[in-house]
Amino acid sequence: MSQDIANLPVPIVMDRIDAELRRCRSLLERIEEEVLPLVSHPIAPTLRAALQDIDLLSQCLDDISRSVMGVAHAIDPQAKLDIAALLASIRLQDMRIRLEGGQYDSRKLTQKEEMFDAPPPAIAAASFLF
Amino acid sequence: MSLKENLRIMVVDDMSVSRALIAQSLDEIGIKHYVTENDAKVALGKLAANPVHLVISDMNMPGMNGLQLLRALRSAKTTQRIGFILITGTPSPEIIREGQQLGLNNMVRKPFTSATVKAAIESVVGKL
Repeated sequence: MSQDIANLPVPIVMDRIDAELRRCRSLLERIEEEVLPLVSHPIAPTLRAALQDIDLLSQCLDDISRSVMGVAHAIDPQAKLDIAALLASIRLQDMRIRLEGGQYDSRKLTQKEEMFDAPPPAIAAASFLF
Repeated sequence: MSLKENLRIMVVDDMSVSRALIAQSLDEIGIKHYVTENDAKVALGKLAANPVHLVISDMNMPGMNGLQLLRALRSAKTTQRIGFILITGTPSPEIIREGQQLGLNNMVRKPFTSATVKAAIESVVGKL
């Protein structure tokens, strides 16, 4: 990453978090599309209740997104944030890279790239065992 | 012909699964005449042109929420007497207060069942 992640303007960090929330929202929309055929048949009450949570989850994501952007607009645009602590708790590599400012979507990689592109450190270390 | 065979309802919800679940409840109740809309503004235009007896609407929708739709319906002569049931997962005191001021007829809390939807409809239009 060319950007200094130790000193990122807070609004940029908030923008990136908002982009991740919107990404989650679009994943949820895809799930919604896929589960829709289930509702064309009578369904169990528990499934009916669970499916209604899709809407609730979608609204939660929208609300968090609005809150994050509210913070981004309320804060001094010059304020800086060291996002190392934030990144340390992110387990998903794709998300971590995007929060750092990179473009990454592992689902767009070919199988070859997925198999042979730099393995995570834990796997590289484990290979010594064999 | 019974009330549920005559009753005309419009379901307004931006989420396809939620719309389908409400529609499934109406099928189970035995309501024959209902239409669904995913956009409250489009729904408003259609209701002005062709009013129904009852609207069942989600609260949180992009562009126009359920209470805004209710307000718009109550402000036009051709739609002001349409029954209105709001469906929401989070019925805050503000929503209830504003709904009452606007003439909201009933509210259904998520997660709903066909029985709760039926009870809410019956409280507005009478025994089905």
